[in-house]
Amino acid sequence: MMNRGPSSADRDAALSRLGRLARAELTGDASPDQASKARWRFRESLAKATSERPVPRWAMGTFAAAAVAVAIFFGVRAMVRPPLTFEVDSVEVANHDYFLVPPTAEQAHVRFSDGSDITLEPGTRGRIAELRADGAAIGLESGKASLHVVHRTGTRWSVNAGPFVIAVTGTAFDVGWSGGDQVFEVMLRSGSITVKGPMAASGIQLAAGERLVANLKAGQLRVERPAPAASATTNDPAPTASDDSSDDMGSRRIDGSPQARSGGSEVKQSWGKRVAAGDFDAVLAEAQEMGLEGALARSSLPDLVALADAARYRGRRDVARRALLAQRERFTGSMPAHTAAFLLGRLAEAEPETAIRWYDRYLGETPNGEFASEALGRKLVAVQSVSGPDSARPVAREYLRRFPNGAYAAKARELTSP
Amino acid sequence: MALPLTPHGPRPVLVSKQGGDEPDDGTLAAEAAKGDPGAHAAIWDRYSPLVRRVLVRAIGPGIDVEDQLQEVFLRFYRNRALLRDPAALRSFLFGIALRVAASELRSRRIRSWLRLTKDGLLDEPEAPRADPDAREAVRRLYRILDRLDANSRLAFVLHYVDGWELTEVAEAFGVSLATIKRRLARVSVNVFASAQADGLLVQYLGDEKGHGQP
Repeated sequence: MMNRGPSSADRDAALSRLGRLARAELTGDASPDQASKARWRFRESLAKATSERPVPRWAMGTFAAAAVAVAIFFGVRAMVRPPLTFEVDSVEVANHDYFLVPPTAEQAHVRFSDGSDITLEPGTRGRIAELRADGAAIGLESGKASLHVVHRTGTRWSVNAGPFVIAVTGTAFDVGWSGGDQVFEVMLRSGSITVKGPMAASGIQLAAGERLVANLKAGQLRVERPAPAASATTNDPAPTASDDSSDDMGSRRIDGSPQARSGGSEVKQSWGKRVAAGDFDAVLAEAQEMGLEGALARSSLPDLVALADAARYRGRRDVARRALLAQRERFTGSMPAHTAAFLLGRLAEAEPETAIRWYDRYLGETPNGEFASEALGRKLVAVQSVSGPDSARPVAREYLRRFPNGAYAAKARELTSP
Repeated sequence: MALPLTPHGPRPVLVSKQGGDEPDDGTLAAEAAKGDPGAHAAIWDRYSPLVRRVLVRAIGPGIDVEDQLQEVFLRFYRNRALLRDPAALRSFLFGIALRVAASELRSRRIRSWLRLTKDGLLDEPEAPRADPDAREAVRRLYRILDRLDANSRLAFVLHYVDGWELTEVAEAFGVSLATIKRRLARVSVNVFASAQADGLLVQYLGDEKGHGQP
């Protein structure tokens, strides 16, 4: 018979004896045959996993047989990519696909198998709603997250934050949503995203450096441009004291309130102000009323910038392109004219050769411009699509030299790895 | 619950051979981080025996852990960029192994609800040992552990079977020492009571087999 109520030390010692017994029984030793099979199986899997990437020459011999075996055994299946997987680096954060970072904890990180990652700020909660081979759907219930999505052909990610949806193809951005305050905020660091939601039903496309803030309670949506672009708008007529739609960042405020939409000012607002107030359609309509040719020929540089923005946000690529070209022709050498080269490249990406020429022009005019990383990265993608990896490799090397931590660094490393 | 990728994880039982022409962990991990398949193959060679052992003890006797072993190293390949400190390669791999083991234990529990195998166990791949009683005792111990949730079971196995210090177990789970003590105290009471009630196991609770006294 056992003693009644053994001390915890006795219990611990007894269980340790049982544990030692199990340790002796369960050595986990594999027979040489088992070990060999397992090793070979891993190498086959590794060869499959690396089959989409260049393999070092020295490793070719080692993995050639495995690659052939993979090709034979997996056939068409090798063409089918499995859904992404992810890892969370903190025990407190994840419960299956749901994440909740305690307010007192440090940042948490979610790393996806395609190299994309999310940094979650303390207090953030949400869900990995969907995992596919070409991307994932993230639901942000509350808090702030920074996303870096690795761009690959056909990449398709989305982030739902409150009533807003962000469509992503490959980019880095910060997003925040507060259900209590009804405030949505997204800051695009590189790449491009399209935001849809209240006051942005048809979608607003953001360029690198732009920040969108929507306050649903106040009925306001504001897009802020980075400083260089803002400097272009400083030529705008000085805002009136009652004009609250401007700020020192050259932002454009989209105000859903009837007062704001009516203008509220006796002075006719510039197009820059109207874009800031969200009246994209009004700017486009007014340009059409003026006659587009005339508008392009006579408008001020800030108005041309605003017209191009309004057209881009509304998907009027033809008008956007002409407004950007007008900036370059009429205001050669100005910062907006340089930026227009980058934006023209973005608009021309359906024709990669044209896009490459615009990116080259932008990089030539402003080698250290605010969109230099983005332009070079996009050029890298375009060159690869047009001329293949061999031609893209020098671009990739240049990208890594200049922007080793840039949004396209992973892509560049793929191309340059031996 | 996900397990943490602690920079300084649990200490493994074995020390891998290093020196001579073999690169150290940091060098290997740095090469692996670049996606070098040769480095991943070398890491397999160095660590697969250790990881296999952790998996076997975590999942229990009679279970083929080959799939889980492969999964650990493939996950490492896919998530190699997460390894911020190359010198922490070993603990990083163990962290993955624990997550894979926890996932397998949960899956097994679900499968057991749907389709029970004989005694809940599969074919025994390991060579039988000389002491059939000891082997049976271990099987019975793991039947008791099968009733625990995955994390309680893993904590028990890491401490009592693998011999990890409580601080190491706590670190592996990313919880405080006090938390792991409470968890193990609760688990050990249950396991001990179940073992006492087992005619064979009770013999192994004593100082020597057959004494039956802790």
